[in-house]
This record gives sequence, structure tokens and C-alpha cells, in this order.
Amino acid sequence: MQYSDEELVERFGAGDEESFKMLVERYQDRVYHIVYGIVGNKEEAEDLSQEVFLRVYRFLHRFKGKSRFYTWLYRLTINVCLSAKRKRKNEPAKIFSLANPSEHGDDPGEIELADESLSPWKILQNREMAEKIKSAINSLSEVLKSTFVLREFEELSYEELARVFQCSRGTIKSRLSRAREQLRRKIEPYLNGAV
Amino acid sequence: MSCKKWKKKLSSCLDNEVSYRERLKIEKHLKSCQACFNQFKQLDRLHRLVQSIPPEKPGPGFYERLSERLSQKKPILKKKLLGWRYVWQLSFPRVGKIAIAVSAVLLLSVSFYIWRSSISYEVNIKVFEEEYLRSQQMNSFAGELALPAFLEIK
Repeated sequence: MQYSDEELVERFGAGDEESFKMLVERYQDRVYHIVYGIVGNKEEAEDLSQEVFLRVYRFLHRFKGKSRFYTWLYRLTINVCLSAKRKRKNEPAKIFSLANPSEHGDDPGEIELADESLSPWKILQNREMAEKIKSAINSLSEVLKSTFVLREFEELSYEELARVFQCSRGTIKSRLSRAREQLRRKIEPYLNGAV
Repeated sequence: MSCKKWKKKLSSCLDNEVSYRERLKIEKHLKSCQACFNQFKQLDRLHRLVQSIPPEKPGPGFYERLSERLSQKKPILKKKLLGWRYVWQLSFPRVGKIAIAVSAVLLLSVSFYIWRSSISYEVNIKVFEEEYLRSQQMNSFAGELALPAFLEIK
């Protein structure tokens, strides 16, 4: 039987552990993808994704059902990523930079590009290009990066983003505009070269 | 409007988060301004490139690893449900619960209506009978009084 997110939340609240498992399986890939987009490191993305679901497990009773479950989950995801980043700022030796991913085991060889027959952009055949984009995304400020990642990876509407970040639609509009402008400037030569 | 202001709108235009009217204005400007048009094209390419990067997925056994960490923590449940409430909470999806609730309300309403109409019917018969008897008594009483008086006049 296919339950909605809200039904699974309700059942978990009533003590049904299986419902929690179903929620995890439904969202683990999306949460991981968002976290990876923000932290840019597989090992850390796995750890933080698990941290997200641990918090879901502990604090799901706080979800009142006023918004959709996924906006609540994504807000939690962003909070986990931002607090992890803040913690790491206090540990300079462990700061991870996507600019040097090989130091952390994420060598460019691990990146798979989309099926070329699906992509009109030949330039994506170049792994260096994908790395450039990831590196550019990683160089954005945390707030801009989180907003950009949720918009591009999860295709959340401005209304949903405003709910996740608890700000106005205008703020989201401005953040995305700034994020894209910064990215555009960083990889401009590649953008001009693409056919 | 200066190009700087138009450029700020390009991102939301790309996301289709502008009104139809505003979109028309932007398109009109892009036709007449090469610099803004180029920038819009670049933003569009950027979007497509980001979309072309396949999503990263967690390694296999994600839930199992999570379970290990979960075993050390316990959820704070809203309430412990016991007996029929537990069955009610967990046995049916929400739609099923609504259907059951609506059916129950309908059944109760119909039962109540039938019960009311049968009661009121009995009451009406009784009242009718009482009224009838009373009117009969009144008639005979009026006859007794009126007849002698009528005969006297004659």
C-alpha cells in the first residue's frame, strides 16, 4: 500500500517503525544529493545525510503538518549542513575544499557524466567541466549555495523555497539571481564555448 | 529601465517565476539588447549544465548503517496508542478513515431519522384519538343542552 508522507509521519508517531523506514527509503537519495551539493564530499555527505534522518527520527513529533513534509525535511537538511559547516570553521585543518577534491578521495574519475545522447552540451563530456561547475557551486556562500542547490537539484518553487528558508519570495529571487550571476562569472568561458 | 535592472530579472524569468506580462516585457528587451540576451543565454546554459550532472546517491546499505545509529536513540512519540485506537491508527490509510467516518455519520443520521419518524407517528395517532374522543364528548354535551331549549322555544 502506498502511503503519503503525512500518513507515514502519523503512523510513525503512533509507534510504527516500518513507516520511518519507508520515509528514509523515499527520501535518502534526494537528501544525499542535496547534502553532497552543499558539502561536496561523499564521506561527509553520507555522514550528514544520516544525521538528517537521525534528527527526523528524534524530532518528527515536532512536525505539525502545517507545511508539506519534504519542506520540513529540506529545512532540517539545510540546518544540518550549515551547522556542520560552522563546526568545521572552528577546525581549520579539516576544512574541505572542492577545489582539491583528490585530497579527500573524490578524484574526478569518480564523476559520471550524463548520457551524451541525452545532453546537447558536448562540453559536458569533459570531466574537468563538471568539476569546474561543482567547484564554482562550492565557492558560493552557504546561503546562496543551499538556495541554488534546492532550486536546481530538487526544482523547488520560489514559494516552497521561501517556506524552507522561512523568508520572503523576494529574498529567494534575489539569492538565486546573485548565485547564478556569481556562477556565470566563474565559468563564463565554458558557457560561451558550449554549443 | 537600465540593463542592470533587467539582468536581475533574468534568473526568475529562467525559472518561470515571473508573470506573463513581465515575461513579455523581458522578451521584448532581450530582442533589442544583445548584452542582456547573451547573459540570458549563458544563464540558460548554466542551468542545463547543472541539470546534466547526474545526481549523487548514497552507497548501498544506507538504512542498515542508519539503523545501527538509531538503535542508540529512541524517538519521542506523540502518544502511546493502545487497543482499538492503535488498530484504528495503523490499519487504515487516511482516505479509508474518512470513508469509515462519513459512513458512520450517515448511518447514525438515517437511524435517527427513522426512529424520530416512527415515534412522532405514534404520538400523532394518540393525539388524534384523544382529540376525537374529546370532540365526541363535547358534541353529546352540546346536544343535551341545546335540545330541551330548542323544544321549549317551539
